[in-house]
Formats: sequence, C-alpha cells, structure tokens
Amino acid sequence: MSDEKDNKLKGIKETRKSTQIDRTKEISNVGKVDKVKQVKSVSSVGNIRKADPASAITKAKLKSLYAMIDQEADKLFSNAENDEEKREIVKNAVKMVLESAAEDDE
Amino acid sequence: MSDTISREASDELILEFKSWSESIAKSVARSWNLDWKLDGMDGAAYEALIFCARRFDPARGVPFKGYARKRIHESATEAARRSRGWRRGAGTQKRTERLAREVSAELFDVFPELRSGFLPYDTSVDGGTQGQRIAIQQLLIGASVIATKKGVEAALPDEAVDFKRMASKLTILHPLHQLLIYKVYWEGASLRGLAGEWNTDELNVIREHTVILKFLYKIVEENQDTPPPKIRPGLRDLLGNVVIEGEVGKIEQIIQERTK
Repeated sequence: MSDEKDNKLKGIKETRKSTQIDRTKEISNVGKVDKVKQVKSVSSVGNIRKADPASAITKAKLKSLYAMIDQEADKLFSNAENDEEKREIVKNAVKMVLESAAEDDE
Repeated sequence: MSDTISREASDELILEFKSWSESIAKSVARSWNLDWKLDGMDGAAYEALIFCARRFDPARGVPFKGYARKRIHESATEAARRSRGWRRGAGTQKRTERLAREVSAELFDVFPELRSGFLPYDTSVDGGTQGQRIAIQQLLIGASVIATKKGVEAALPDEAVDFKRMASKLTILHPLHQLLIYKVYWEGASLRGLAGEWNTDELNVIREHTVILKFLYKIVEENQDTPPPKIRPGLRDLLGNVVIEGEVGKIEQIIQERTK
C-alpha cells in the first residue's frame, strides 16, 4: 500500500532547457494539390476612395467650383506668355466637364 | 459566375432609375449646348440603363447608382460626340467654344472618375476645400495638355507658337514621363490600361500622373525653370525596358518633327 502512494505524481519537476533541435528529415513526398474549382464570383472592390463628400460634384456646388476654376486659371495663366484664347479654352473645358458630371442634389 | 437579378427586379430598376438616367443625359446635353432628345442622348442613356439593370449583381455590394452612373454618362457623351448637333456646332461656334468642347470630351478619358460624379482624387490630400482646389488645378493643367496636343496637331506654324510654349515645358520631363503623357493624352490610353501594358500596379501609374501634373502646374504658374520630377520607385523597373537611357522623349520627338 505504501508503494502505491509513493507512485503518485506529486508535481512537475523542473524542465530541462532544450539545447538542440534535431535536424528535419527530408520530405519524401508532397501530396498533389487538388484542382481549384471554378471561382463562383469575385466581389467588386468598388471605388477605393475616402468617403469625402467634398469630392462629389453636385449641382449645388457648381457655382463655388466655377469660382475656383476662375481663380486658379487666372493664377495659372498669369504670365504674359500665355495667351488669352488658351485660357478661355481651358477654363471653359473644365467648367463643361463639371456641369456634365454634376449630380442632382438629393 | 455572377448572380444577376431576376427579369422582374431588373425591370423595376429600370422604372425606378429612368428619370435619374435622363437627368444625366440632360446634364451632358446642357454642358455642350446640345438638345438631349434631338441629339440622341435620351436613347443612349436609356439603353445604358437597361444594359446595367440586366447585369446588376447586388451581391457585389455596389449600389445600383454607383454601378450604372459611369456607363450611362459614357453612353450619353459618346452619343453627343456622334450627334448632328456636335458636328453642326463645329462650323458655327466660336473657335474657343468648339475647342473647349473637344478638350472637355477628352478630359473624361483622362479623368474617368468625373463620369462617376467625382473630382479627381489625390491620395496625398485629405479632401475638403484644399482637395477640391488641387483637383481643379489638375483638371486645368490636364485640359492645357490636351489643348496643347490639339494645337500642335492642328495649328498653322505661326498659330502653333503659343501651344509650343507648353509643349516645350513637356519636353523637360523625363522620357518615361513624356511617354506616359503621350500614351494617355495623344493615344487615349487609360492610366489603368497603361499600368497593364507596363505590367505594374495601377496606383504606380496614377500617382506618377498626379506628380507630373503638379509639376506642370508649378512650372506654368511660376514660369521658371524647376528640375523635373524623378521617376518614383514604383516605376523604376521600367527604365532600360520601356525607355532606354539617353533616348529622346516622345513629346520632344513630336515637336522636332513639327518644326522640321
């Protein structure tokens, strides 16, 4: 009886530090990768852009955007070298795209 | 395989968004001083709406308007450019107005986000009014490059002087940057398409384009010599491959040919 008592585990003795990792054996065989089944669908990433309402072109914003176009075009073509005709073409072209792209306000 | 909606649901979408698609066609017509019905933009927008409604897949998580707007706008602008009103205007309009219309039509190809109703997006700016201002600057300089291209191509030698000034600024650019500008503005390649051709990430090309436009804006505005931008790391692999060291830039080649 006393022997049975002595055989009981009383606790975990201190573990020894690992000193070495055995060399891995050569991989003898790699199982074949099964054929990939057809991809059912890939979700669209959508527009990767910050949710920035300031970049949306709306009809309500057109007036202030046009004013900005006039200011920036005057700055851009402020040198005498640049001719008046080109300034008008460029300014009007940008105003046209914004008017065409503007969304009705919801 | 995509999971498109049923025919009935698709028909409902068409009914629900018909007036919205018409408003897009009307905006396109108004901006170019055309008649949205006589010049065929109503039909083009409606056809695009039907096309999108038949192919709409809600599982992709994109709202219908976000999915369809670009295509409807594109269809309306293409119809406008083919219309009799467009050609009729070519003879009667003032030269500046006619050129502005042609330049604006090409701006949509360079900045496709406009078709979705957004200003060009610059990843380095947080947005707000400053973001709007930078977007406007990019559109102005982009329009200026398109006007330059049209001027160099069409103007008589004495008329082309003003356009050559801008063109000469383009020749300051690195040959790879000149090639990027040539591909996008002269050949009509999209930035995404160009990224595919150059086998690089599209963001690399989009960012490089933004850097070039900022540089051009600066040198035109300040009218002084500034060193051109360096090729960013994302596109350096193309050096020696797409362009060879010491090669004359594409825009410079065009100017040389025109001035012979």
